[in-house]
Amino acid sequence: MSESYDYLFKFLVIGSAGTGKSCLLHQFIESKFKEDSSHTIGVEFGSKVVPVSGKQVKLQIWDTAGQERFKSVTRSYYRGAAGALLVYDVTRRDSFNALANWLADARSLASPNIVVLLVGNKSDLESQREVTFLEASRFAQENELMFLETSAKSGQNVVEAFSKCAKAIVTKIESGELDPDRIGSGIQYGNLKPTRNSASAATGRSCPCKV
Amino acid sequence: MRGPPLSVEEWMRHANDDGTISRIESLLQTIFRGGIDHALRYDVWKYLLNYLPFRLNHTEAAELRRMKIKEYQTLCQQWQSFTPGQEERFSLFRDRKSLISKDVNRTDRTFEYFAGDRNPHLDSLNNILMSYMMYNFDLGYVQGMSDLLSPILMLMDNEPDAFWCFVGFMDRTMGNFMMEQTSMKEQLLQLACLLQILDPELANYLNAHESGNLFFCFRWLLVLFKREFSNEDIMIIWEVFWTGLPCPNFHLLFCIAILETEREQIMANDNGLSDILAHVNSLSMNIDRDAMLCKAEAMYLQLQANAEKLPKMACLTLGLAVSVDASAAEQEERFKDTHVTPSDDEDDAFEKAISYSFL
Repeated sequence: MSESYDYLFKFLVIGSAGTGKSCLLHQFIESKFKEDSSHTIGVEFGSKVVPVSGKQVKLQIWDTAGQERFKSVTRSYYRGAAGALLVYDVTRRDSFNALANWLADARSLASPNIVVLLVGNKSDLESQREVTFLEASRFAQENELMFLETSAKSGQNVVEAFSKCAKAIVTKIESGELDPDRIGSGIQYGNLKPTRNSASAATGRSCPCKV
Repeated sequence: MRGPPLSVEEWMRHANDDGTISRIESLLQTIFRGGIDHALRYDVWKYLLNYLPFRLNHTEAAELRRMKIKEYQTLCQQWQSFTPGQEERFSLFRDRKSLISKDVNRTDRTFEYFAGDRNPHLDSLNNILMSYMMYNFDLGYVQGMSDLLSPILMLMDNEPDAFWCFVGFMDRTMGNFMMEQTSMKEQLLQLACLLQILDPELANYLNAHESGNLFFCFRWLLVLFKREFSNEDIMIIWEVFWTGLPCPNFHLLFCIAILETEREQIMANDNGLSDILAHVNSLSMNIDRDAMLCKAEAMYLQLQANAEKLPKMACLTLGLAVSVDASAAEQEERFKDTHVTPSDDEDDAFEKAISYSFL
């Protein structure tokens, strides 16, 4: 039996090794913290349907290995992603310093229009914090990113992070800023009540006068 | 088709009174057929992983081991004697140290051997990886290495022996971890080439569904199936691979055996990139070890019997004599050009010629 949804978005979870990318994904999908989670080798994949602005949106999430060495492989999965969670660890300055590189990769390889949400993970480890909320907000603002601090361990803000990013994409589709029909948009229509756009897209392809 | 593991009795028949090991080929044959009795692994892995050469007598082996223990201690002292200031100015070292410590804390923690906080075995894992970084600084530490080390450390249960066995394993698999990932990419190409021969329908399906690069096999190859099998299974699988029998790159045929077993699932529901990756990752801990080893060997025997018809790349990969047959060379060219199956009659005949049955 297949799930019902209006849209399908391709999402990436990227950022340095050990920032908790897989745990965020696990917490989002299973609603629990994955104890004894191993570091990701290559790429893993998960999906979930979430309600966003009155629409059902299926998020197809690609969780990548964080070590620089594997970028040549993991980057091949970036193509056509509509959204990304860019993750750093609030207790590790080096993971914050690496953000600019990850962001440049996402924008150049996935899509210049990719909607990125900055995630400061491990917010439960307040006593070990090395990156303040304020400086991360500033980085987000300068780079036109949304921003949330999360804890994959407690679950705080995890669903919100994915939903907020998805919501921004839905808003951009509705305002016409994003065209789901553009190749490599990372957006597909689902099997629910086709919108006006998708209906015209379906006929558009076979209609010679539109070519 | 699989045999019993190398037993103590058989091992004793290979071990001479002076400590040297003889009739290596038949020894490796037995290991290839059935792995090694667990009681013997502590001794035999040292030979399989080139820590101890088979030709050494008792005295020489003891002397070599003494020297190796000392060398390990030297390597340990090197990284342990970095001053804080020195570390502060040495970002490469610092980054590696930090990544090792992160990964040590998340390697096989579900195993009793590594479970719990302040487990001393985690320190050993850390010490060996730090020492390996000093031993091979050009390579350093790359994720996946701790997966390769973990079963070795559990078996050896002491740092210097585990370190040198790990060095032997890394000597074989180092390419997987190199900077440009050329070896990984080459293996994926070789895998695609073999799959095209052994299961053209599946290969074509994958090509048509954004998966022709077989990147979904990346984890299998990088850590040699460590994440896909239980510890008991992985020890046997690695022992089989370490024998080098029946051919070089047998692990690629092992990959194809799994893909071939899962072909219907992979091609079901018009699966694309994401479903294929999700399915392949979900196979972890649900793969029949012996069935796959048998299947992989059967594939090798079929390819060997038809070696003269194979493309050059396949022959080179599996250590088969390269055919000078022009049609095979032509086939190879077409494979390189298009990376999809040629489908004229001649090639259909070729596919039929090497199609095989296992039962």
